[in-house]
Amino acid sequence: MNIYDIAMPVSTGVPVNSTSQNAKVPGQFGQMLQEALAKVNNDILTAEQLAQDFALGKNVELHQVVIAAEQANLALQLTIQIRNKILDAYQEIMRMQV
Amino acid sequence: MIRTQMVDVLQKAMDGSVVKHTAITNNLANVNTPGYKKLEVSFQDALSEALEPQQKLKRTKPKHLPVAVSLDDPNLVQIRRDTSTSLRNDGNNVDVDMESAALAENQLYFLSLVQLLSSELSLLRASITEGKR
Amino acid sequence: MNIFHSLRISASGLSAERVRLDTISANIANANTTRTEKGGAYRRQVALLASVENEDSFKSALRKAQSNMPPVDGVRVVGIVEDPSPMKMVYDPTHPDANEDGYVEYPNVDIMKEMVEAITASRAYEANVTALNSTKSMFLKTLEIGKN
Repeated sequence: MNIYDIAMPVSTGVPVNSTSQNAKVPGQFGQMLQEALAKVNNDILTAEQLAQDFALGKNVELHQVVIAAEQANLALQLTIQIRNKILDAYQEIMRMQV
Repeated sequence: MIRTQMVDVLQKAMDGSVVKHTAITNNLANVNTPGYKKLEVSFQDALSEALEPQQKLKRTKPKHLPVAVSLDDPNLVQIRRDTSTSLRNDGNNVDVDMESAALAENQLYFLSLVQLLSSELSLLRASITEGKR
Repeated sequence: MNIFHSLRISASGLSAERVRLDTISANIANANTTRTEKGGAYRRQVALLASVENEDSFKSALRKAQSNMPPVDGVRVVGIVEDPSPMKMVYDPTHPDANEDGYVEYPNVDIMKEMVEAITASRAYEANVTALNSTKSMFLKTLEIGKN
């Protein structure tokens, strides 16, 4: 996932494929969040595995461990922000008076 | 997820730099070993090739792809023995001054890569958190 | 692990050069020793160095599979042997260690040559110290990547 693809929608609250699939907006958010969570999970597991290998003296470079840890951290923060934006958007919609 | 090309390239360059550092330290440890031939490491050409393939191979048909090197290729970092003869009578071709200079250069190169990587990551961090902590 | 590996390589270099320097010091100190416990004059000693390449350990095979790095592990002192070159014979019938022809056997130590060797060993030692410090600084800087 390229961060620049997601940074725009996150800040404006508009889903990535809004132009073509307006009718499916609620499913879009959920699906996006699900995918993001799966990727974050992967990143965190990779970072943990590398850290463990390093601790056990296996053949990993220190910079690989540090970079993977930082990437996992940023991925998690990104996902949290996505979740926050989705919640904000939802609350905004709920506040609208019919 | 947070995998930009910049982070990838910097990480591969750091891999190469570490291997080069190990080779240089081995050359320095063996600077007085009779018959020892120095190790040389190269990776920057392979890295640029991976990023911008030069179309060196002639293609018989336009749809054939030239042989390309990807960033994930494990042979990006090449190590070889420099078997050239030396001016010393113990057969050792390590020049302690050249190797020490190479050590300093590679160290500065590595430290610069670390710096650039930190900048890239804090750029990403800032764009994610929108400047708020 | 490769960064730690290069620390060990530098350490082996330091250790080997130290042994060389010790041998050279012994040669210089004994440059005029005409009698030893074994009989005869002191013979010049040479430290033999060899580069270490562990082909057979599992770790080195693993390392090679992952990064094309040959299994180099620095240097080690294989042994300290005596220099077989001929001893210096000096005509001095009054010397207590003179043989029946009046010649005294002196060690085959050339002080100038030993001094040059000492300088070489000392420079190599310094270069290895620099390499060790460089490894440490690279490692510590890497740890700062994640910090804000």
